[in-house]
Amino acid sequence: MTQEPSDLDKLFKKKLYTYEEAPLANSWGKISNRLPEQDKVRSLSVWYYAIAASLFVAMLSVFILFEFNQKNNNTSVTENTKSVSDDSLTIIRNKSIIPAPSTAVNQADHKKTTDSSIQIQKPLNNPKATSVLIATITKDTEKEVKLPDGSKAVLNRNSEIKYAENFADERIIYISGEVAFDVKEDPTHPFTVYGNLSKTVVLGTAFIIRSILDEKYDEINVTRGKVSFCRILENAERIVILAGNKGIIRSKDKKEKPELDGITDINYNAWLTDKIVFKDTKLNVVLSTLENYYDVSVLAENPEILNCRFTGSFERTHIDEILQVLSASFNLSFNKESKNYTLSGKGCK
Amino acid sequence: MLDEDIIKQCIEGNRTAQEKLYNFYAPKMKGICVRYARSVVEAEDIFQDGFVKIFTNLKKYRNQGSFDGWVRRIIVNTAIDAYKANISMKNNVPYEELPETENTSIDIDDTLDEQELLNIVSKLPDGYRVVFNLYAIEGYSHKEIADMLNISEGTSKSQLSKARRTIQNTLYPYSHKSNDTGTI
Repeated sequence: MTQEPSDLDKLFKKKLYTYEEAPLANSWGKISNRLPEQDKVRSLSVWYYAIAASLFVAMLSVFILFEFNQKNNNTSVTENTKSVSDDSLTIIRNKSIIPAPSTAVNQADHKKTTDSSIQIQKPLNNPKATSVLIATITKDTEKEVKLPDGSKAVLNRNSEIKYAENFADERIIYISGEVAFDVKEDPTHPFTVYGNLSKTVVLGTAFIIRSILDEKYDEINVTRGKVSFCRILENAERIVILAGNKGIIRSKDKKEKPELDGITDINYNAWLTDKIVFKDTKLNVVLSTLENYYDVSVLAENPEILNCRFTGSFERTHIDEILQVLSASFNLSFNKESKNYTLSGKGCK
Repeated sequence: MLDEDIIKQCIEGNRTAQEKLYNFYAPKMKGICVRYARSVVEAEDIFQDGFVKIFTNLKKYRNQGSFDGWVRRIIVNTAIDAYKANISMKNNVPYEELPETENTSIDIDDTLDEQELLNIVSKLPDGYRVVFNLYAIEGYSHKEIADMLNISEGTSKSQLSKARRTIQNTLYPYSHKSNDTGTI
């Protein structure tokens, strides 16, 4: 067993297992209201009446919603956003699940474009679009895409970008997941990226934007140049973020202004550069970085292992090799069970 | 201890009996809800939903193990449902490095009271909190937790580690560095 109840666990269990709190005064009332009535016999006619009434209400609301929807079909966009051109849509999806090269790969192979399918389909939810171009990537971890204006986008796994045919006139792109952009400078055509929560505008720069619905925040890390970052709201307050800094917009924050911070994680773009760097880094941070990059779990059986400090860098290395290096450095051993790794050994003080 | 008859009467829908059962278990069950929930409001929701489930499923209880355990299990399951409904799967703390754990062998402070410990648990990120509760306090195994939450055992283990690290950092933010160079 790799984990047993620790002293910490025991403390919490001892004090909290029997923890009691007085319920609110009205709780019982609310609960009993939801229980079937004591008088079990209900006349059937009451049921029929209830069913008929609810059906009527349901139909009415569907009708109302339908009418409402018809009117509002194209006006849900606010002044601060623009819908993608109606003529045609290009969607590029990276659905690859392999986190990293499984063997030391030829440098040449790695960045090659491997589209697994490109289809031209009937438009999906855009009735006016005449064609939708969908490209799905399943082979590589990252997919490098050249945009019509000469800019570059690289998609991390499970990411998607969407843009219209008239992209060169109006550089607007929608993303979900994590995408790195290298935008070609063009002051006459601002480059706009929409995440789930955020809107980023740049003239020419390089940055990584992360927008994953479930995580409930959008984050941008600026590598070169500067960007303007704000919520998708009318008259939203913008901040300007310079290279080496990052901005965050959270869905639960009521204040409009995005948060600004410096980029502290040297490996924030490891998935893009395929290089991981450690400088006297404590193993707990090292393992977290490996977990994120390789999409695995790496645990230390003995917490003292996490105290060890490591210096080194890896480029396109298989995680097993990295763990071998760590093991050799600190006299450890590791165990692998599909995507779960466990390190054991004495560790460091 | 709760009377056998009361359970029978509850199944029959006897409000008085139901209220007796409720009064008997409410404080303990509220205590459980508060541990799992993200907020006071959510704790109350879990509490009420849980009791409704208890009463509507009473007829299914067939003396399998202790009644106490059965009631507790329903509340815990209701708490887990609430967690799943609000799931934010990746509960790594991305881009924000966890403060480093300096010293992992600590003198467990027995003078900490329940409220303080409860606050610490409440402040954990959702994923860490639910796993820590299930493993450390309820006593489920990682395999059981994986089944209940629909995650891998590895994820359960890693969430537990991270929960413990976070708790340690909260309890002992200034624990001394014994040896800064680290390597042997």
